[in-house]
Amino acid sequence: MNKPRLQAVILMLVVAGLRTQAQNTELDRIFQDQDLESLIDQALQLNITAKVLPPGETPVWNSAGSKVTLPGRSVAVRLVGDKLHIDVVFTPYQDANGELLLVAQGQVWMAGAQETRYFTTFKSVPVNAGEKVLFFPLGLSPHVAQGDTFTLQIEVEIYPYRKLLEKQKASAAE
Amino acid sequence: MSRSGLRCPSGDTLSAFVDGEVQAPWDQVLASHLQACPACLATVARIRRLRELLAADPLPSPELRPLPEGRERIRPVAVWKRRIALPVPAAAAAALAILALGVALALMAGRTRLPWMSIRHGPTGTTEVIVAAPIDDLEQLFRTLDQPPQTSGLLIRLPAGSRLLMMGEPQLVREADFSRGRR
Amino acid sequence: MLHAGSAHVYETLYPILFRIAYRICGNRNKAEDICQEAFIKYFERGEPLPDLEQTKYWLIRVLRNLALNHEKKKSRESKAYQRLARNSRQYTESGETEVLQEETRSLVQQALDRLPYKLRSVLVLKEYADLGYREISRILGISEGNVKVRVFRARERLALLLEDEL
Repeated sequence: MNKPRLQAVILMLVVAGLRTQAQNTELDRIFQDQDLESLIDQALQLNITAKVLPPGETPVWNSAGSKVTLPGRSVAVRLVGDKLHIDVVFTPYQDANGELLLVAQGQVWMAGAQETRYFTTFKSVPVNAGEKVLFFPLGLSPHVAQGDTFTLQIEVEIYPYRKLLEKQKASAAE
Repeated sequence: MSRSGLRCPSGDTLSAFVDGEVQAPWDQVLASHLQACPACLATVARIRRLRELLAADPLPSPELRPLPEGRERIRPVAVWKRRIALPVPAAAAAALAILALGVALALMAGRTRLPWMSIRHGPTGTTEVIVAAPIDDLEQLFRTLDQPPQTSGLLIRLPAGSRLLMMGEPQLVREADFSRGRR
Repeated sequence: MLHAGSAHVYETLYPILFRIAYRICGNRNKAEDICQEAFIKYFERGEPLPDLEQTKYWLIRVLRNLALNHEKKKSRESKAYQRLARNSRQYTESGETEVLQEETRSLVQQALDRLPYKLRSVLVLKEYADLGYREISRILGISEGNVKVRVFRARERLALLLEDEL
């Protein structure tokens, strides 16, 4: 179920805080707080990588980022090109068993010489934590081998944030 | 005490009067009292000004999100073994977006009426709109559409000069399933 | 659950519900959340209500309960938030540029937020939901006389808070 945006932002402040090791004792005290604890238990990190793949499938370009969010809270990705503008909103959902569902809502604007095209799409897929999901906002061509048609691919990995925190604490302790 | 000698009504009665909640014939009695009593008239005027102030205050505009499907649909257990098809309501939200887009495109192309526009709803949740009007500057279009700056999202600039075309139905697949399919 | 008329109900009533929710909560994201929650409850209840008016009243009732819960949570949350906010200043240099942004609220909304919940909720229903005293009394389960008094008291307080604007 959707949680207040305030709490999602608090979480992002916490993420920022983790980068500074010196403040760890302060953070530990804050982490005692029950509300924050349960938030962190639910938080998910989305690692998002956009790739342009030529026919040979070795990417010529990629760009990545990650966002921490809560189930039901969306992460927006915007890809901007010369005659192309793509907005994708990824929303992870999680049930009591920890099973995840990723919903992708895409909007594509393409400016052509004669016309302008607009596409909107809504897709969903069940996924496991740590698994990679691929989103092709422009679709896939079966004839990828010919000419210079490039494929735009967005990869999404979903990780429980708690696990990443624990890994980071463990490596910091070494 | 008003000039006519009648006692002034209580504040909440005046407030109710402004709301039109005082029943006949008392509303008439009040109305004539107001004509004779500047103090009560001033109170009523103040309430009316306050109401106007409240009504005129602008709202942040809500964004129409896709229709919530209900908790059971979003968190089922058994259902997740297969793809979930999106029902009509999300298409309704998309339809609104398309309408807004159509108007914006018409403005951009300098036409006062909606340009020729074709809309095709695909069976798997994709809607395609083609407008016969070229647009030089997509960025300007987005300013027209008043897109939010997406400060809480990721912004990725695609490589310059890349020829990316719409090749088919957008796909969302698990990498494991995808690799298997390609081999 | 979802049926042919659902989209129409949602699109027609959402703006009104949002207006009410925002005026009561004073926070746009919270208002959106409780609006979504109210609609989910409506669609989950099974049989759709016979007409739009009834649906509107039903939704407003649910909205008002959700807003009340939010009121109660607000004080608990603000304690956690305040402790974090005291520590947050030192974190803003460390790369992540996301900083908590106070939503800019109008003077009117700030004044509304300062009203006690009981007065605020009644006034919002009067001024922003365009409801009469009888309808408000039915939705909130209080007497019409009570509605009248609360509206009046809310207005008195607001007039003081917004003195300079009036």
